[in-house]
Amino acid sequence: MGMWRLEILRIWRTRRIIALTAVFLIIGIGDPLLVHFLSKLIANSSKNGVIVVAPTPTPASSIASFGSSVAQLGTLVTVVVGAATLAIDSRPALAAFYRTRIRHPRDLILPRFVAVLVFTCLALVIGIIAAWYETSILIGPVSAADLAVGFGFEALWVLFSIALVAAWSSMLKSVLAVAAWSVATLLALSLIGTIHVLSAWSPTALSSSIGPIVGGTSPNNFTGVSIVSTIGAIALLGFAIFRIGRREQ
Amino acid sequence: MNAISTTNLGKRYRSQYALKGIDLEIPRGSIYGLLGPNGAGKTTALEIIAGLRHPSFGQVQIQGRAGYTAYCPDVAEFEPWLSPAEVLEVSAGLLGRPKPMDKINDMLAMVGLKDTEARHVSGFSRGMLARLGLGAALICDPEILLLDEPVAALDPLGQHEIMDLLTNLRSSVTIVISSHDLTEIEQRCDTVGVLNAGELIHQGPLSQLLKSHAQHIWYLEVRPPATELVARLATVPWASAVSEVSPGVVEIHYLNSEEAERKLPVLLANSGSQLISLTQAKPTLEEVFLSITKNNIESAEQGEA
Repeated sequence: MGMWRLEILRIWRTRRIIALTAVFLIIGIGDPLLVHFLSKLIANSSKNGVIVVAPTPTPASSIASFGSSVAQLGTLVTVVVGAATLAIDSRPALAAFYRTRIRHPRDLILPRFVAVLVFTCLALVIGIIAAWYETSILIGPVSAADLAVGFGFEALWVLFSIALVAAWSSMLKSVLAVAAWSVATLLALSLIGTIHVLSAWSPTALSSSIGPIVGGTSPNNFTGVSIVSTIGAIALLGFAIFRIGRREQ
Repeated sequence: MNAISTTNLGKRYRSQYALKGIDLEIPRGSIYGLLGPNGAGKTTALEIIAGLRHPSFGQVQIQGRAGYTAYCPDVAEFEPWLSPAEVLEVSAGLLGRPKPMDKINDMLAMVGLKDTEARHVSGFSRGMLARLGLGAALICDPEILLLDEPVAALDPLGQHEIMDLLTNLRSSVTIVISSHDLTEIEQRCDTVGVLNAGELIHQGPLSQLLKSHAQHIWYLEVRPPATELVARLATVPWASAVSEVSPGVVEIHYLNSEEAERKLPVLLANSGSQLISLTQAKPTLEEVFLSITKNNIESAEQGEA
Protein backbone atom coordinates (compact mmCIF):
# COMPACT_ATOMS: atom_id res chain seq x y z
CA MET A 1 0.00 0.00 0.00
CA GLY A 2 1.41 3.37 -1.00
CA MET A 3 0.92 6.82 0.49
CA TRP A 4 -1.87 7.79 -1.93
CA ARG A 5 -4.11 4.88 -1.01
CA LEU A 6 -3.26 5.39 2.63
CA GLU A 7 -4.43 9.01 2.46
CA ILE A 8 -7.72 8.06 0.82
CA LEU A 9 -8.23 5.51 3.60
CA ARG A 10 -7.36 8.16 6.20
CA ILE A 11 -10.00 10.61 4.92
CA TRP A 12 -12.55 7.82 4.67
CA ARG A 13 -11.96 5.85 7.87
CA THR A 14 -11.44 8.84 10.16
CA ARG A 15 -14.83 10.17 8.96
CA ARG A 16 -13.18 13.43 7.87
CA ILE A 17 -15.00 13.06 4.56
CA ILE A 18 -18.30 13.14 6.48
CA ALA A 19 -17.28 16.24 8.44
CA LEU A 20 -16.29 18.08 5.27
CA THR A 21 -19.31 17.03 3.22
CA ALA A 22 -21.77 17.64 6.05
CA VAL A 23 -20.55 21.19 6.69
CA PHE A 24 -20.58 22.25 3.02
CA LEU A 25 -23.91 20.50 2.41
CA ILE A 26 -25.56 22.16 5.41
CA ILE A 27 -24.28 25.56 4.26
CA GLY A 28 -25.50 24.82 0.71
CA ILE A 29 -28.98 23.86 1.88
CA GLY A 30 -29.25 26.24 4.83
CA ASP A 31 -28.13 29.58 3.42
CA PRO A 32 -30.60 29.87 0.50
CA LEU A 33 -33.37 28.81 2.92
CA LEU A 34 -32.29 31.46 5.41
CA VAL A 35 -32.16 34.15 2.70
CA HIS A 36 -35.57 33.11 1.39
CA PHE A 37 -37.30 33.16 4.77
CA LEU A 38 -35.33 36.05 6.29
CA SER A 39 -38.00 38.70 5.66
CA LYS A 40 -40.71 36.48 7.21
CA LEU A 41 -38.52 35.68 10.20
CA ILE A 42 -37.80 39.35 10.79
CA ALA A 43 -41.46 40.30 10.36
CA ASN A 44 -42.55 37.67 12.89
CA SER A 45 -39.99 38.82 15.44
CA SER A 46 -40.84 42.55 15.13
CA LYS A 47 -42.49 44.00 18.26
CA ASN A 48 -43.96 47.29 19.49
CA GLY A 49 -44.86 48.43 16.00
CA VAL A 50 -41.26 48.53 14.78
CA ILE A 51 -41.12 47.47 11.18
CA VAL A 52 -37.83 46.07 9.84
CA VAL A 53 -37.75 45.53 6.12
CA ALA A 54 -35.37 42.88 4.81
CA PRO A 55 -34.13 43.19 1.23
CA THR A 56 -35.93 41.11 -1.32
CA PRO A 57 -34.06 37.85 -1.80
CA THR A 58 -32.29 37.45 -5.12
CA PRO A 59 -30.32 34.51 -6.54
CA ALA A 60 -27.14 36.61 -6.18
CA SER A 61 -27.81 37.41 -2.49
CA SER A 62 -28.52 33.72 -1.82
CA ILE A 63 -25.22 32.59 -3.37
CA ALA A 64 -23.41 35.51 -1.70
CA SER A 65 -24.70 34.30 1.67
CA PHE A 66 -23.51 30.79 0.81
CA GLY A 67 -20.09 32.18 -0.17
CA SER A 68 -19.85 34.12 3.07
CA SER A 69 -20.57 30.98 5.14
CA VAL A 70 -18.04 29.00 3.09
CA ALA A 71 -15.45 31.71 3.84
CA GLN A 72 -16.05 31.29 7.58
CA LEU A 73 -17.37 27.86 8.56
CA GLY A 74 -16.09 26.12 5.44
CA THR A 75 -12.61 27.54 5.90
CA LEU A 76 -12.62 26.57 9.57
CA VAL A 77 -13.50 22.93 8.91
CA THR A 78 -10.94 22.81 6.07
CA VAL A 79 -8.23 24.11 8.39
CA VAL A 80 -9.13 21.65 11.16
CA VAL A 81 -9.22 18.66 8.79
CA GLY A 82 -6.00 19.89 7.17
CA ALA A 83 -4.24 20.29 10.51
CA ALA A 84 -5.35 16.85 11.71
CA THR A 85 -3.99 15.34 8.49
CA LEU A 86 -0.84 17.39 7.96
CA ALA A 87 0.51 17.71 11.53
CA ILE A 88 2.82 14.77 10.88
CA ASP A 89 5.01 15.21 13.95
CA SER A 90 2.12 15.41 16.42
CA ARG A 91 2.75 11.69 17.11
CA PRO A 92 6.54 11.20 17.13
CA ALA A 93 6.61 7.39 17.01
CA LEU A 94 4.21 7.37 14.07
CA ALA A 95 6.24 10.09 12.38
CA ALA A 96 9.35 7.92 12.86
CA PHE A 97 7.53 5.07 11.13
CA TYR A 98 6.93 7.22 8.05
CA ARG A 99 10.20 9.14 8.12
CA THR A 100 12.30 5.97 8.11
CA ARG A 101 10.43 4.69 5.06
CA ILE A 102 9.96 7.63 2.70
CA ARG A 103 12.50 8.49 0.01
CA HIS A 104 11.86 12.26 -0.06
CA PRO A 105 10.06 14.67 2.32
CA ARG A 106 7.55 15.48 -0.43
CA ASP A 107 6.30 11.88 -0.14
CA LEU A 108 5.22 12.75 3.38
CA ILE A 109 3.44 16.01 2.53
CA LEU A 110 2.08 15.84 -1.02
CA PRO A 111 -0.30 12.84 -0.71
CA ARG A 112 -1.81 14.30 2.48
CA PHE A 113 -2.06 17.75 0.93
CA VAL A 114 -3.65 16.51 -2.29
CA ALA A 115 -6.09 14.23 -0.44
CA VAL A 116 -7.36 17.08 1.76
CA LEU A 117 -7.52 19.43 -1.24
CA VAL A 118 -9.42 17.00 -3.48
CA PHE A 119 -11.93 15.93 -0.83
CA THR A 120 -12.52 19.53 0.34
CA CYS A 121 -13.14 20.57 -3.25
CA LEU A 122 -15.55 17.65 -3.69
CA ALA A 123 -17.39 18.73 -0.55
CA LEU A 124 -17.43 22.29 -1.89
CA VAL A 125 -18.92 21.06 -5.19
CA ILE A 126 -21.64 19.22 -3.25
CA GLY A 127 -22.32 22.40 -1.25
CA ILE A 128 -22.50 24.50 -4.44
CA ILE A 129 -24.89 22.03 -6.09
CA ALA A 130 -27.11 22.12 -2.98
CA ALA A 131 -27.05 25.93 -2.93
CA TRP A 132 -27.79 26.08 -6.67
CA TYR A 133 -30.76 23.70 -6.33
CA GLU A 134 -32.22 25.46 -3.29
CA THR A 135 -31.76 28.90 -4.81
CA SER A 136 -33.27 27.83 -8.12
CA ILE A 137 -36.45 26.42 -6.60
CA LEU A 138 -36.92 29.02 -3.82
CA ILE A 139 -35.62 32.29 -5.25
CA GLY A 140 -34.75 32.15 -8.91
CA PRO A 141 -32.40 30.74 -11.54
CA VAL A 142 -28.61 30.90 -11.15
CA SER A 143 -26.17 30.61 -14.03
CA ALA A 144 -24.32 27.29 -13.85
CA ALA A 145 -21.39 28.84 -15.72
CA ASP A 146 -21.06 31.57 -13.11
CA LEU A 147 -21.15 28.94 -10.38
CA ALA A 148 -18.43 26.96 -12.14
CA VAL A 149 -16.21 30.05 -12.39
CA GLY A 150 -16.99 30.87 -8.75
CA PHE A 151 -16.06 27.33 -7.76
CA GLY A 152 -12.69 27.79 -9.51
CA PHE A 153 -11.87 30.84 -7.39
CA GLU A 154 -13.16 29.20 -4.19
CA ALA A 155 -11.00 26.15 -4.98
CA LEU A 156 -7.97 28.44 -5.22
CA TRP A 157 -8.83 29.75 -1.75
CA VAL A 158 -9.01 26.16 -0.46
CA LEU A 159 -5.64 25.45 -2.10
CA PHE A 160 -4.08 28.47 -0.41
CA SER A 161 -5.63 27.65 3.00
CA ILE A 162 -4.39 24.05 2.99
CA ALA A 163 -0.93 25.13 1.82
CA LEU A 164 -0.84 27.54 4.75
CA VAL A 165 -1.80 24.70 7.10
CA ALA A 166 0.99 22.57 5.59
CA ALA A 167 3.49 25.35 6.23
CA TRP A 168 2.44 25.69 9.87
CA SER A 169 2.52 21.88 10.21
CA SER A 170 6.19 21.93 9.29
CA MET A 171 6.94 24.35 12.12
CA LEU A 172 4.60 23.23 14.91
CA LYS A 173 3.81 19.81 16.32
CA SER A 174 0.36 19.80 17.91
CA VAL A 175 -2.77 19.68 15.77
CA LEU A 176 -4.38 22.38 17.88
CA ALA A 177 -1.42 24.75 17.50
CA VAL A 178 -1.30 24.20 13.74
CA ALA A 179 -5.05 24.88 13.42
CA ALA A 180 -4.91 27.93 15.71
CA TRP A 181 -1.95 29.56 13.94
CA SER A 182 -3.46 28.84 10.53
CA VAL A 183 -6.75 30.48 11.52
CA ALA A 184 -4.86 33.41 13.08
CA THR A 185 -2.86 33.88 9.85
CA LEU A 186 -6.01 33.78 7.73
CA LEU A 187 -7.64 36.34 10.02
CA ALA A 188 -4.57 38.54 9.73
CA LEU A 189 -4.73 38.26 5.94
CA SER A 190 -8.40 39.15 6.15
CA LEU A 191 -7.51 42.30 8.10
CA ILE A 192 -4.83 43.16 5.55
CA GLY A 193 -7.53 42.69 2.90
CA THR A 194 -9.51 45.56 4.43
CA ILE A 195 -6.75 47.99 3.44
CA HIS A 196 -7.99 49.47 0.20
CA VAL A 197 -4.80 49.19 -1.88
CA LEU A 198 -4.27 45.57 -0.83
CA SER A 199 -7.86 44.35 -0.94
CA ALA A 200 -7.61 43.16 -4.51
CA TRP A 201 -4.43 41.21 -3.80
CA SER A 202 -5.09 39.46 -0.49
CA PRO A 203 -6.02 35.78 -0.98
CA THR A 204 -8.96 36.29 1.40
CA ALA A 205 -10.67 38.10 -1.50
CA LEU A 206 -11.21 34.65 -3.02
CA SER A 207 -12.80 33.21 0.14
CA SER A 208 -16.32 34.36 -0.79
CA SER A 209 -15.73 35.15 -4.45
CA ILE A 210 -18.60 32.96 -5.66
CA GLY A 211 -21.15 35.60 -4.50
CA PRO A 212 -19.77 38.53 -6.53
CA ILE A 213 -19.23 36.30 -9.59
CA VAL A 214 -22.89 35.23 -9.57
CA GLY A 215 -23.80 38.87 -8.86
CA GLY A 216 -22.19 39.97 -12.10
CA THR A 217 -18.62 40.94 -11.14
CA SER A 218 -16.19 40.14 -13.91
CA PRO A 219 -13.85 37.19 -13.24
CA ASN A 220 -11.06 39.45 -14.51
CA ASN A 221 -11.30 41.34 -11.22
CA PHE A 222 -9.94 38.21 -9.48
CA THR A 223 -7.04 37.59 -11.84
CA GLY A 224 -4.43 39.34 -9.71
CA VAL A 225 -5.44 37.72 -6.46
CA SER A 226 -5.64 34.32 -8.18
CA ILE A 227 -2.04 34.66 -9.31
CA VAL A 228 -0.94 35.81 -5.84
CA SER A 229 -2.81 32.92 -4.20
CA THR A 230 -1.41 30.30 -6.57
CA ILE A 231 2.16 31.53 -6.20
CA GLY A 232 1.63 31.82 -2.42
CA ALA A 233 0.28 28.27 -2.21
CA ILE A 234 3.21 26.85 -4.20
CA ALA A 235 5.68 28.80 -2.05
CA LEU A 236 4.03 27.66 1.18
CA LEU A 237 3.99 24.06 0.01
CA GLY A 238 7.63 24.24 -1.04
CA PHE A 239 8.50 25.72 2.33
CA ALA A 240 6.59 22.93 4.11
CA ILE A 241 8.45 20.22 2.18
CA PHE A 242 11.81 21.90 2.80
CA ARG A 243 11.12 22.35 6.53
CA ILE A 244 9.72 18.87 7.12
CA GLY A 245 12.81 17.39 5.49
CA ARG A 246 15.19 19.31 7.73
CA ARG A 247 13.17 19.04 10.89
CA GLU A 248 14.04 16.67 13.69
CA GLN A 249 11.29 15.01 15.65
CA MET B 1 33.77 -5.78 9.43
CA ASN B 2 31.51 -3.21 11.04
CA ALA B 3 27.94 -2.72 9.85
CA ILE B 4 27.77 0.58 11.71
CA SER B 5 30.57 2.76 12.95
CA THR B 6 30.44 6.27 14.30
CA THR B 7 33.27 8.74 14.58
CA ASN B 8 33.18 11.33 17.35
CA LEU B 9 29.39 11.35 17.11
CA GLY B 10 27.85 14.10 19.21
CA LYS B 11 24.55 15.78 19.81
CA ARG B 12 24.05 19.07 21.61
CA TYR B 13 20.77 20.67 22.62
CA ARG B 14 21.67 24.30 23.35
CA SER B 15 24.31 23.96 26.08
CA GLN B 16 23.37 20.38 27.02
CA TYR B 17 25.25 17.47 25.46
CA ALA B 18 23.16 14.35 24.81
CA LEU B 19 26.15 12.63 23.19
CA LYS B 20 29.73 13.74 23.76
CA GLY B 21 31.53 12.27 20.75
CA ILE B 22 31.13 8.51 20.73
CA ASP B 23 32.89 5.97 18.52
CA LEU B 24 30.57 3.01 18.15
CA GLU B 25 31.77 -0.08 16.31
CA ILE B 26 28.96 -2.50 15.63
CA PRO B 27 30.11 -5.70 13.91
CA ARG B 28 28.09 -7.02 10.99
CA GLY B 29 25.76 -9.85 11.96
CA SER B 30 26.12 -9.21 15.67
CA ILE B 31 23.54 -8.51 18.33
CA TYR B 32 24.85 -5.35 19.93
CA GLY B 33 23.48 -4.28 23.30
CA LEU B 34 23.48 -0.55 23.95
CA LEU B 35 23.25 -0.09 27.69
CA GLY B 36 23.05 2.90 29.93
CA PRO B 37 20.97 4.57 32.60
CA ASN B 38 18.07 6.87 31.72
CA GLY B 39 19.30 9.96 29.88
CA ALA B 40 22.57 8.31 28.87
CA GLY B 41 21.98 9.06 25.19
CA LYS B 42 20.93 5.61 23.92
CA THR B 43 17.77 6.76 22.14
CA THR B 44 19.54 9.81 20.69
CA ALA B 45 22.30 7.56 19.31
CA LEU B 46 19.77 5.17 17.74
CA GLU B 47 17.73 8.04 16.28
CA ILE B 48 20.83 9.59 14.70
CA ILE B 49 21.81 6.24 13.17
CA ALA B 50 18.22 5.84 11.90
CA GLY B 51 18.41 9.29 10.30
CA LEU B 52 15.72 10.81 12.49
CA ARG B 53 18.10 13.30 14.11
CA HIS B 54 21.05 15.23 12.76
CA PRO B 55 24.32 14.93 14.64
CA SER B 56 25.76 18.18 15.98
CA PHE B 57 29.21 16.84 15.11
CA GLY B 58 30.85 13.59 14.07
CA GLN B 59 29.83 11.02 11.51
CA VAL B 60 27.88 7.80 11.07
CA GLN B 61 29.05 5.23 8.55
CA ILE B 62 26.62 2.48 7.61
CA GLN B 63 27.98 -0.33 5.48
CA GLY B 64 25.00 -1.55 3.56
CA ARG B 65 22.28 -0.65 1.13
CA ALA B 66 20.35 2.57 1.69
CA GLY B 67 16.82 1.97 2.94
CA TYR B 68 17.64 -1.32 4.60
CA THR B 69 17.99 0.05 8.13
CA ALA B 70 14.84 -0.37 10.20
CA TYR B 71 14.12 1.40 13.47
CA CYS B 72 11.57 0.52 16.17
CA PRO B 73 10.97 3.20 18.79
CA ASP B 74 10.33 2.22 22.41
CA VAL B 75 6.61 2.97 22.15
CA ALA B 76 5.45 1.97 18.69
CA GLU B 77 2.56 3.89 17.19
CA PHE B 78 0.50 3.27 14.07
CA GLU B 79 -2.58 4.66 12.41
CA PRO B 80 -5.36 3.41 14.71
CA TRP B 81 -7.76 2.88 11.79
CA LEU B 82 -5.50 0.37 10.02
CA SER B 83 -5.51 -3.38 10.57
CA PRO B 84 -2.17 -5.00 11.51
CA ALA B 85 -1.96 -6.55 8.05
CA GLU B 86 -2.46 -3.10 6.49
CA VAL B 87 0.30 -1.68 8.73
CA LEU B 88 2.71 -4.29 7.35
CA GLU B 89 1.44 -3.61 3.84
CA VAL B 90 2.12 0.13 4.27
CA SER B 91 5.50 -0.56 5.88
CA ALA B 92 6.76 -2.63 2.96
CA GLY B 93 4.89 -0.63 0.32
CA LEU B 94 6.42 2.72 1.27
CA LEU B 95 9.88 1.26 0.72
CA GLY B 96 8.83 -0.07 -2.66
CA ARG B 97 8.99 -3.69 -1.50
CA PRO B 98 5.36 -4.79 -1.57
CA LYS B 99 4.69 -8.19 -0.07
CA PRO B 100 1.98 -10.72 -0.93
CA MET B 101 -0.70 -11.34 1.68
CA ASP B 102 0.62 -14.78 2.64
CA LYS B 103 4.00 -13.23 3.56
CA ILE B 104 2.22 -10.59 5.61
CA ASN B 105 0.19 -13.21 7.44
CA ASP B 106 3.34 -15.27 8.04
CA MET B 107 5.02 -12.23 9.55
CA LEU B 108 2.04 -11.53 11.80
CA ALA B 109 2.20 -15.13 12.99
CA MET B 110 5.95 -14.84 13.52
CA VAL B 111 5.57 -11.87 15.87
CA GLY B 112 2.64 -13.47 17.71
CA LEU B 113 -0.24 -11.53 16.16
CA LYS B 114 -1.79 -14.35 14.17
CA ASP B 115 -5.38 -13.95 15.33
CA THR B 116 -5.57 -10.19 15.08
CA GLU B 117 -5.93 -9.70 11.32
CA ALA B 118 -9.54 -8.55 11.56
CA ARG B 119 -8.94 -6.01 14.32
CA HIS B 120 -7.92 -2.40 14.02
CA VAL B 121 -4.73 -1.21 15.71
CA SER B 122 -6.75 1.17 17.94
CA GLY B 123 -7.63 -1.75 20.22
CA PHE B 124 -4.05 -2.98 20.61
CA SER B 125 -2.23 -3.10 23.94
CA ARG B 126 1.32 -1.71 24.27
CA GLY B 127 2.71 -5.21 24.05
CA MET B 128 0.80 -5.91 20.83
CA LEU B 129 2.01 -2.61 19.38
CA ALA B 130 5.59 -3.58 20.22
CA ARG B 131 5.12 -6.89 18.39
CA LEU B 132 3.56 -5.09 15.43
CA GLY B 133 6.44 -2.61 15.41
CA LEU B 134 8.89 -5.46 15.10
CA GLY B 135 6.80 -7.09 12.38
CA ALA B 136 6.61 -3.78 10.48
CA ALA B 137 10.40 -3.57 10.61
CA LEU B 138 11.08 -7.20 9.67
CA ILE B 139 8.67 -7.21 6.71
CA CYS B 140 11.01 -4.70 5.04
CA ASP B 141 13.86 -7.28 4.93
CA PRO B 142 16.24 -5.07 6.94
CA GLU B 143 19.99 -5.56 7.00
CA ILE B 144 20.25 -3.48 10.17
CA LEU B 145 17.61 -3.45 12.89
CA LEU B 146 17.68 -0.70 15.53
CA LEU B 147 15.46 -1.54 18.51
CA ASP B 148 14.82 0.87 21.35
CA GLU B 149 13.61 -1.10 24.38
CA PRO B 150 11.96 -3.76 22.21
CA VAL B 151 10.61 -5.90 25.03
CA ALA B 152 9.87 -3.30 27.71
CA ALA B 153 6.10 -3.49 27.12
CA LEU B 154 5.94 -7.29 26.97
CA ASP B 155 5.18 -9.87 29.65
CA PRO B 156 8.01 -12.29 30.56
CA LEU B 157 6.81 -14.94 28.10
CA GLY B 158 6.46 -12.35 25.34
CA GLN B 159 9.94 -11.01 26.12
CA HIS B 160 11.37 -14.47 25.75
CA GLU B 161 9.54 -15.12 22.47
CA ILE B 162 10.66 -11.86 20.88
CA MET B 163 14.25 -12.26 22.06
CA ASP B 164 14.26 -15.82 20.67
CA LEU B 165 13.03 -14.43 17.36
CA LEU B 166 15.79 -11.81 17.33
CA THR B 167 18.42 -14.37 18.27
CA ASN B 168 17.39 -16.48 15.28
CA LEU B 169 18.03 -13.49 13.01
CA ARG B 170 21.63 -13.25 14.21
CA SER B 171 24.20 -13.25 11.39
CA SER B 172 21.66 -12.41 8.68
CA VAL B 173 20.68 -9.10 10.33
CA THR B 174 22.80 -6.76 12.44
CA ILE B 175 20.71 -5.96 15.51
CA VAL B 176 21.28 -3.08 17.90
CA ILE B 177 19.20 -3.30 21.06
CA SER B 178 18.90 -0.58 23.63
CA SER B 179 17.49 -2.13 26.77
CA HIS B 180 17.27 -1.98 30.53
CA ASP B 181 16.71 -5.73 30.71
CA LEU B 182 20.29 -6.72 31.42
CA THR B 183 19.47 -10.40 31.86
CA GLU B 184 18.15 -10.61 28.29
CA ILE B 185 21.09 -8.56 27.00
CA GLU B 186 23.51 -10.89 28.77
CA GLN B 187 21.85 -13.95 27.26
CA ARG B 188 21.45 -12.65 23.71
CA CYS B 189 24.07 -10.03 22.87
CA ASP B 190 27.59 -10.77 21.79
CA THR B 191 28.86 -7.19 21.89
CA VAL B 192 27.92 -4.36 24.23
CA GLY B 193 28.43 -0.64 24.47
CA VAL B 194 27.81 1.17 27.74
CA LEU B 195 26.78 4.80 27.61
CA ASN B 196 26.72 7.10 30.59
CA ALA B 197 25.86 10.81 30.45
CA GLY B 198 26.53 10.90 26.72
CA GLU B 199 29.91 9.14 26.90
CA LEU B 200 30.75 5.66 25.69
CA ILE B 201 32.45 4.25 28.77
CA HIS B 202 32.88 0.69 27.53
CA GLN B 203 32.58 -1.17 24.26
CA GLY B 204 33.56 -4.67 23.25
CA PRO B 205 32.62 -8.33 23.35
CA LEU B 206 30.35 -9.16 26.26
CA SER B 207 32.54 -12.10 27.32
CA GLN B 208 35.54 -9.76 27.57
CA LEU B 209 33.60 -7.29 29.69
CA LEU B 210 32.46 -10.00 32.11
CA LYS B 211 35.95 -11.49 32.26
CA SER B 212 37.55 -8.14 32.99
CA HIS B 213 35.26 -7.76 35.96
CA ALA B 214 35.63 -11.33 37.21
CA GLN B 215 35.74 -11.49 40.97
CA HIS B 216 38.55 -13.26 42.84
CA ILE B 217 36.17 -15.70 44.45
CA TRP B 218 35.96 -19.48 44.20
CA TYR B 219 33.22 -21.77 45.37
CA LEU B 220 34.79 -25.05 46.40
CA GLU B 221 32.40 -27.93 47.03
CA VAL B 222 33.65 -30.98 48.92
CA ARG B 223 31.96 -33.94 50.58
CA PRO B 224 31.00 -32.60 54.06
CA PRO B 225 32.35 -32.00 56.59
CA ALA B 226 34.63 -29.20 55.37
CA THR B 227 35.82 -28.09 58.81
CA GLU B 228 39.41 -29.27 58.35
CA LEU B 229 39.65 -27.66 54.90
CA VAL B 230 38.28 -24.33 56.15
CA ALA B 231 40.75 -24.33 59.04
CA ARG B 232 43.70 -24.91 56.68
CA LEU B 233 42.51 -22.29 54.16
CA ALA B 234 42.19 -19.71 56.97
CA THR B 235 45.95 -19.85 57.50
CA VAL B 236 47.18 -19.44 53.90
CA PRO B 237 48.50 -16.01 52.87
CA TRP B 238 46.90 -16.05 49.36
CA ALA B 239 43.30 -16.17 50.69
CA SER B 240 41.84 -13.05 52.25
CA ALA B 241 38.58 -14.57 53.49
CA VAL B 242 37.21 -18.09 53.80
CA SER B 243 33.79 -19.25 54.96
CA GLU B 244 31.58 -22.31 54.66
CA VAL B 245 28.45 -20.87 53.05
CA SER B 246 26.53 -24.16 53.15
CA PRO B 247 27.48 -27.69 54.23
CA GLY B 248 30.50 -28.64 52.12
CA VAL B 249 30.54 -25.39 50.08
CA VAL B 250 33.45 -23.10 50.87
CA GLU B 251 33.70 -19.55 49.58
CA ILE B 252 37.32 -18.50 49.09
CA HIS B 253 38.34 -14.90 48.39
CA TYR B 254 41.84 -15.17 46.93
CA LEU B 255 44.35 -12.38 46.44
CA ASN B 256 46.64 -13.75 43.74
CA SER B 257 45.13 -16.02 41.13
CA GLU B 258 48.42 -17.57 40.01
CA GLU B 259 49.49 -18.51 43.52
CA ALA B 260 46.00 -19.67 44.44
CA GLU B 261 45.73 -21.87 41.33
CA ARG B 262 49.09 -23.49 42.15
CA LYS B 263 48.58 -24.04 45.87
CA LEU B 264 44.89 -24.94 46.22
CA PRO B 265 45.19 -28.49 44.77
CA VAL B 266 48.04 -29.29 47.17
CA LEU B 267 46.12 -27.94 50.15
CA LEU B 268 43.05 -29.87 49.08
CA ALA B 269 45.00 -33.12 48.85
CA ASN B 270 46.65 -32.59 52.21
CA SER B 271 43.31 -31.90 53.93
CA GLY B 272 41.98 -35.26 52.74
CA SER B 273 38.78 -33.62 51.42
CA GLN B 274 36.81 -35.24 48.58
CA LEU B 275 36.42 -32.67 45.78
CA ILE B 276 33.01 -32.36 44.09
CA SER B 277 33.42 -29.11 42.15
CA LEU B 278 35.31 -25.85 41.91
CA THR B 279 33.67 -22.85 40.26
CA GLN B 280 34.70 -19.26 39.88
CA ALA B 281 32.19 -16.61 40.89
CA LYS B 282 31.09 -14.82 37.74
CA PRO B 283 29.65 -11.34 37.94
CA THR B 284 26.34 -10.77 36.21
CA LEU B 285 26.09 -8.09 33.54
CA GLU B 286 23.93 -6.14 35.96
CA GLU B 287 26.71 -6.13 38.57
CA VAL B 288 29.30 -5.10 35.99
CA PHE B 289 27.00 -2.43 34.57
CA LEU B 290 26.35 -0.96 38.02
CA SER B 291 30.04 -1.09 38.84
CA ILE B 292 31.28 0.69 35.71
CA THR B 293 28.54 3.32 35.65
CA LYS B 294 29.10 4.04 39.36
CA ASN B 295 32.86 4.33 38.81
CA ASN B 296 32.25 6.66 35.87
CA ILE B 297 29.97 8.91 37.92
CA GLU B 298 32.47 8.96 40.83
CA SER B 299 35.41 9.83 38.59
CA ALA B 300 33.34 12.56 36.91
CA GLU B 301 32.48 14.01 40.32
CA GLN B 302 36.13 13.88 41.39
CA GLY B 303 37.09 15.62 38.16
CA GLU B 304 34.58 18.39 38.85
CA ALA B 305 35.81 18.74 42.46
